[in-house]
Amino acid sequence: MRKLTISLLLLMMLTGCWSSEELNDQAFIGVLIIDRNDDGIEVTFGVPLTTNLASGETSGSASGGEVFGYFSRTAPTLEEAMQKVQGDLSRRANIGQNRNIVVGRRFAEEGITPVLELAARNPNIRMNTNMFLVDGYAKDEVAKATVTSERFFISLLNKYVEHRTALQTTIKDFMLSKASGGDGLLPIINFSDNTEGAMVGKSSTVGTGGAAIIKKGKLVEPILTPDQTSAAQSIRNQLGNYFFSIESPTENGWIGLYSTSVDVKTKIVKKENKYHIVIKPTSEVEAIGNNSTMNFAIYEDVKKLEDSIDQFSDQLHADTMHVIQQTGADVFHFDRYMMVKYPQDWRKIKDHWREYYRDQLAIDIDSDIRIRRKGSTVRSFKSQFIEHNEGD
Amino acid sequence: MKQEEKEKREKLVQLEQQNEQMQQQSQLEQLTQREQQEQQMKQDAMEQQESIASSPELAPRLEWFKLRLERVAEVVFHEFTVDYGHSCVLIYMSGMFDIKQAERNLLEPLLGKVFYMKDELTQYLFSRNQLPVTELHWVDRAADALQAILQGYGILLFQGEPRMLVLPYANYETRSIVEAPNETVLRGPREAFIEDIGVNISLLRRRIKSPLLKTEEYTFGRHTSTRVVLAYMEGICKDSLIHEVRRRISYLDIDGVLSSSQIEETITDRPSSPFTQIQYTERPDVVSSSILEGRVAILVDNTPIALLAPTTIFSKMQSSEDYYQNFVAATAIRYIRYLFLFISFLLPSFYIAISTFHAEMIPFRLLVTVASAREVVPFPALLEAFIMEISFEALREASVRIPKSIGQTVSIIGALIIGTAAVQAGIVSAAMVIIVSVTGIASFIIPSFDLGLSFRLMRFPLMLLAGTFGIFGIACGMFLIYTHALNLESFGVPYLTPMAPSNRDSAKDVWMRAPWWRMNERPSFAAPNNRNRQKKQARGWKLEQEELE
Repeated sequence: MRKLTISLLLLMMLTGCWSSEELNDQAFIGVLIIDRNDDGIEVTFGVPLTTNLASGETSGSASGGEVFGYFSRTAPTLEEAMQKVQGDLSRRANIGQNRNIVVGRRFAEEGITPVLELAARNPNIRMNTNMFLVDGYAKDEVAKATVTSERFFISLLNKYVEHRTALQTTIKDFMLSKASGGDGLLPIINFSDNTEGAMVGKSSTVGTGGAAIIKKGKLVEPILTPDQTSAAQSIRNQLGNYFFSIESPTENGWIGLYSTSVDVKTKIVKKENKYHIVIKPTSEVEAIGNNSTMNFAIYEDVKKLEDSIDQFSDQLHADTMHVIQQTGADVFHFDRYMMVKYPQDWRKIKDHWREYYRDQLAIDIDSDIRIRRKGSTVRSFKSQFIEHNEGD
Repeated sequence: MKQEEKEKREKLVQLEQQNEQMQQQSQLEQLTQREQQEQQMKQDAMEQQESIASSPELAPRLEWFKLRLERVAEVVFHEFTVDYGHSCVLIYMSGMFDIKQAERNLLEPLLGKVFYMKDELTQYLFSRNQLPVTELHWVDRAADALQAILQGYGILLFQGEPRMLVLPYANYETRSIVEAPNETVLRGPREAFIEDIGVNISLLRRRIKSPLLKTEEYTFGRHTSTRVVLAYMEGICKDSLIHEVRRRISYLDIDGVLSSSQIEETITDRPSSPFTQIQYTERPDVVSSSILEGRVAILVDNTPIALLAPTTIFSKMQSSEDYYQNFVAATAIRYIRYLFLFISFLLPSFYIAISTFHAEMIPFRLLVTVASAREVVPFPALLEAFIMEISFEALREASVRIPKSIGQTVSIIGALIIGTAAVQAGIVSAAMVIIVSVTGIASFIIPSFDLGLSFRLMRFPLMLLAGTFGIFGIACGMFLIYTHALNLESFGVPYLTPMAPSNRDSAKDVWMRAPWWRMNERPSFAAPNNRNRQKKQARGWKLEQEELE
């Protein structure tokens, strides 16, 4: 018994800065929005308002109010701005739950390094926090957006990443290597008007857009188109469902295809004193549409179609890589392949890796895509049913 | 320190020596010796009366009995005379003695005969044993005769004969054997022990019809003279275990033994531990299987609960149902039981820990739900959990005590107050209600009630630790409990056998319920010398069939 008491007392000495904190004394930051304006940096905490979420059984509670609130302050530095927001909040802001950082365009142009610095030092910020870019003033766009399909705005962001609709870039991705540190792609969130977008008819709805190239922590032109973003996702092995159409190999017309997932293998090889990054996307696609005369029962035609899909894929990947390579931003951190496989040569070029990458590194794409399922009809619906009947 | 160790060692050696001595002497002799000594000391003053009591004269002896049984309403002194002129007295307690049997088998033959000489009568009764009564015996000490009367036997005194006949017609009302009320099973036998030890032993004997099933009888309680029976299988049960049990119960000297728990607490290794180190059951099939595994059962008169020793924490996690069900299902259910053991033990403290210390661990959407449910609750999570857990314990305790007729009302009120009203009033959060009810259900999944109870009680200190140190506190608490359980022993068997110390063969019955045809050996901790339970290849017919094919 005495031993037990002593050991329990010893426990008390181990506490340190350890203290309990009730859930309702904390504000859980769900999204951190960072913008730059003329006065400095504006930090916005997106916080679920649990008071308004409380189940409506308690009489007198203000139910039916906003469920997600944004608190923002401007200050010359990121830290000061965060401190100011905390000063406005009645509860302690807990950033440990935060999984999303949204930055505005101007902030990204001037450099996202303050965020990376903060994340590198603050143990409460997760290294796998997702980063997004808003092409405009992020706080205004996000705050005025209506969220209809989910409970909170942040759930949308999480779902985009989870379902691989958007490119996923985390803080860690910017810190993967020294030679290409601060390089990466930032997925763009679009806010569309009521004619097109995620929820037609609502004032401002959220959707995914292209991606911005970040070099040494700063946004550089150009911005990738959605198609190019998909190719980039594919290179990062993040591409999920992808619908696309291909010109029919037999005759004028289109064949609609659907790829469930793309598996990409990347390696580096040395050919004739030059380094080649070989990207090998392999995938199986399903045919979902056919308005040409192509007959899926004919093996040669299918083979031709597969070839043209490969070509399409090669082209898309190569175009995307070309655009990215032009900027000199090694967003996929190919330097790590080099470092591991050719450490001797790496040492020679690591100081001017970005230039080498931009000017000399060859990128070969070798797609291997097969048609797995051709559908129940071998020919197009039109030629099999409608034109067939007309012939009778 | 060294001196202390030395002393300890010396003490241990002494104890061992004592052990050996005790084993050499017959335990029974020792017990009777002790009783005799005490009686002598107490009855010094009565010695004179004793001498009167053992005299062959009838009148002073009768006087002695009447004096002793003064103001005892139910005692009957039936005086009669056998021809020619032998006066006799039959003494018994009405209500405990079958007088009809005595009339038919004793009074009728005696009164129907004529004995001319006194020797004729004594020969008839004592030498030739001609009464149509089995188990007939005699005593010549009046104190023994008195004890026999109090146990429900009849005593027959004769003029001019110091020996007294004991008629074995003790007969009193007992409860009939009913279905086990607390340990119900679906497929197994329904019988449960009752209060009468004779019936209980017969329930065991009916299951194990072997002369090797030994039932040693002792009497404890200065006033209650309660019969206590040790039941074990000779040759399967370790001798050292039997000696140890005998040695421990021999220290019991109390005015009354009214239940087996008195014996349990006296002989248990560490009575202050939250884990009880002796198993108890009300099912004769459980006792029989334990005896066959090499354990000792202790049955106490007037208690429908038998004690089993040694025991381990894992045997308390086994239900007799496991051995009657299909072994696949039984194994799956066993895992559910282990899972809920931890839930009953840790869920509230885990909730407190992560909601007050490690909110980062909760997925965001769950966190928002929990946080918004807690929004209206004015108490910290620890206090909230304590309020709920304690009121649940109160409800449970009340439902045991409440008379059946109003039990329903109370349970409705309890459910309403704890379940609905408290949440609606914003006193506790709905999440806490869920946690407390899951925990409550979980604690009753543990087959052994006392193990469930000990885990339920250890939950409270763990909750405190969780509320002050978070998961770190839980880890520390678990560590302490684990080391404590590691230290425990039940009659020389480590409490966590066969996990720590690990034993692969016995572990067969811990993580899974092995099919009967694979349980070829008894658990090693109870019967290390005689482990063969059944012939290997219990399913030999299958092999034979395959060979033929």
